[in-house]
Amino acid sequence: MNKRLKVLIAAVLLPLGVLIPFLSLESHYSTQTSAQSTDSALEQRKEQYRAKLQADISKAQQDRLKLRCSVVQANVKNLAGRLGEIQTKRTTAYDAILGELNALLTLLDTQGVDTTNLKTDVTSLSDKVTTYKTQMTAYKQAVDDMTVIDCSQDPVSFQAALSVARSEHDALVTTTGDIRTYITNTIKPALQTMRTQIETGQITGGTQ
Amino acid sequence: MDDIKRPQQQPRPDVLTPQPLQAQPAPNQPLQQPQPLDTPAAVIGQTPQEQKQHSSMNHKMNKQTNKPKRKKGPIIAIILAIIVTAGLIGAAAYVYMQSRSNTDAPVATDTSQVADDQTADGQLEVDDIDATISEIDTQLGTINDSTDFGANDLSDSNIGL
Repeated sequence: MNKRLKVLIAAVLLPLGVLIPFLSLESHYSTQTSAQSTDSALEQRKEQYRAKLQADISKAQQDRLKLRCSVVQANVKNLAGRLGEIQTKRTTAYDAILGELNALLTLLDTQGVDTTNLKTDVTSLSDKVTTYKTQMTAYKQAVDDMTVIDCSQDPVSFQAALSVARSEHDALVTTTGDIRTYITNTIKPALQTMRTQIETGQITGGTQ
Repeated sequence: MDDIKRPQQQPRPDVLTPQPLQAQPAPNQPLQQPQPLDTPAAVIGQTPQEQKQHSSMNHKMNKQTNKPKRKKGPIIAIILAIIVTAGLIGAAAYVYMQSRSNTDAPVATDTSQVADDQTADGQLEVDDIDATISEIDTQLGTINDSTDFGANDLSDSNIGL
């Protein structure tokens, strides 16, 4: 074989002999470290759930949870899957409403229409939507954690996560109801009032 | 054995004995190259019939020698294709520019419509508000509070506790 060819092959293969083991080791340890960080984050959340737990869990409750752990986790997994879709759909709807209102505000501003009151209402709605997003994220996280926590080994943490999830669920029921009520009873009437004022000439675009 | 007398064999007159070839001496004078028949001097010396023959022969030879020149055919075809393509592109660009100028023209000349719109700002705003209310209703219709966050989603019985 040609000497140059041998040198070329060696020059290609020798670095590969170093690189391949290095990369395989790196990928192995990076997976381990990411899993460790995930584990540590879960442990931190479990502590937070337990800290929020207001009442102690009786021995009978723990035994019952251990006994039904697999069934409970299967049901919770179904709920977790459904929550992902709900979160996406609802967040999209709220963002679309806010986007539409902000676009209208911009248009009315360019026409010189006084939009002070409507701006205040839209800001208030935006705050409510932000609250919803925070609660929804916490609720989904708690439910997701319930699918991971081994309730047969750690029933207290599971029960604590369940308690937090119930709390966030109740808060969400209140917040989403509040958002709907606010849109129906405040935003839409404000828009209707503005529409009537423009129609009757009480507010004129481009003159103010 | 002696009673049989064989006739004396005489060499046949018609049979030629092979004679060794004698190398002929090379001619002292160099071989004369044949004169081309189409030189003026040669043509002058030719009879009209010879001239005809030569001219017809030359014509045939020219035909044969011209054959390789046909290789220029593809090049010509390529050049023609390029010219045709360029022409088509030019025509397309011209048509596009024409259509664009036609569509631009009404926009430029339709100032009266714009003026009408500006005078009807109030109507535009009302329409925008109506559209916003309609969009809000549509978006609210896509979400259902009671099913999304059911009261029993995390009840003991629902999760199997």
